[in-house]
Amino acid sequence: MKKLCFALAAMAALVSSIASAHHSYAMFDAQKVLLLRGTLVKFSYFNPHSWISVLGTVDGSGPPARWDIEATSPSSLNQMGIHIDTLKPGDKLTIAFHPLRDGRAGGSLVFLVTPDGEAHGAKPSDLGFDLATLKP
Amino acid sequence: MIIRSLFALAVLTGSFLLSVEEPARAQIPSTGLPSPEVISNADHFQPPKLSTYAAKLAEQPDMTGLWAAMSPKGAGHGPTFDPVHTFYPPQPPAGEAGFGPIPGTYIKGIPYNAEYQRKYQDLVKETTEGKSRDDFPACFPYGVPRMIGDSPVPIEIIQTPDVMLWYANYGRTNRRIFLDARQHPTEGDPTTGGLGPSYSGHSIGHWEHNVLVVDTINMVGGYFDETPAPYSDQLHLVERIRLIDTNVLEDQMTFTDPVTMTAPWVVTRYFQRVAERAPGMTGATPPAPPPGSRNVVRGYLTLGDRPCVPNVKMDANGFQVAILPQELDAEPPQTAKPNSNP
Repeated sequence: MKKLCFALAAMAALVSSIASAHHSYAMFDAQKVLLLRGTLVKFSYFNPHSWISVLGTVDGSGPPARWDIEATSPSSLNQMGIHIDTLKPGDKLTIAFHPLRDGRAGGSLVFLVTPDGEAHGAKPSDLGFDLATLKP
Repeated sequence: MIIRSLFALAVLTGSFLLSVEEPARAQIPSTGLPSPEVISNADHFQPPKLSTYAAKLAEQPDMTGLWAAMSPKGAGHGPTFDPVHTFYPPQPPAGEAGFGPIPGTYIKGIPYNAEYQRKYQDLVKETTEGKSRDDFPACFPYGVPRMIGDSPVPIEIIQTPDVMLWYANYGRTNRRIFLDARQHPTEGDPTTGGLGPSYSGHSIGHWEHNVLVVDTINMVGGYFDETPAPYSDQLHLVERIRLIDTNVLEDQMTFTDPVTMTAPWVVTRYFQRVAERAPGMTGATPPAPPPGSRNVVRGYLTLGDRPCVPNVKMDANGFQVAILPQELDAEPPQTAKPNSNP
């Protein structure tokens, strides 16, 4: 328990120092974390926010649809190990995200698992995910 | 009938000629190129050096470089304008790749009048309902107060004898603090007045020994931060800015706002001199110069060097609505290409 608390505190410290006041949390449901699996359609590497667009399914249900997941700025993504050429259209990805409250097919990035099985962003185990099951 | 239409044609032609002339008169007049004598002597010309400029500048404390806002250790998720006096809701679970303060965060003790006390409470409550009035992600500038106290990235100070520049490209708001003894623009003055408020406002400053005293007015009304704490276009800011250590800057801000506040609001913020984070450099906080030195390394400024692509639009009620790339992709393509991509 102590270890988990320390990990949470450390993660919180890291997140609060890289979080940028781009726009409000408010439009995302921070209480929910959904899992998107699919292939990359487009990667928009912009300020203030980048977008990762995926054709896939959320929590395994329904036909594949286009989902737009908002990530942070290029410099913050760089720190996470996602550079301008890291993601290519057609790459299989697993993405954990907070969904938009208004129900549209979008959300804000929590973590991203690239085809090599590496997680970028938050630590999946901190959220109760087993990284081994998340390989795209 | 014919006379009338000929007259009409004449009027039309006349106005067409007038309209062609107008742009020419509005252009900068061509005063001519340098004389042949000047051009032929160019290789022998001895330019004036900046010795007087340097001597005048040498009187100022060294506040140049990149400055990152400091907040108390263990402060909650932000940033906010006054982190020492902020209420932070309980921290969400790990993995929050959040943008900005958690809905429900607010600054305590702003001396708002009753009306604005209620307004601020309503604004904070709105954020907890998933609604935000912040137009920064729609590519509007921060404005000077928010640029000073709510920038999540370092701002750059550049000093000259007659003007100090604060370059803060992230918030798309830069400021000039005029040090040449000019006064604020007044309404009736044809050369300076009548320009109305701006995002940067108008800042005039003077050195009192090692303290830079700055007076700023004429700012467009807006929010100090994302909580979002409001201010009106009548906001008046007086700052006392000084180095309290080689690499620590103190900015004591006194705000008065006759529209929103009953008393002056004093906020003191501290900034740490840092090196610019170069691409690929790991670590969340850029390194500071060693204690006692102020060796600032500038890397490649990546943050502001791209066009602002709005992530939201503001709806009719003034709330953010996310713009999803799939909605932009569904629109018919623009026929005009940006200048840089022929």
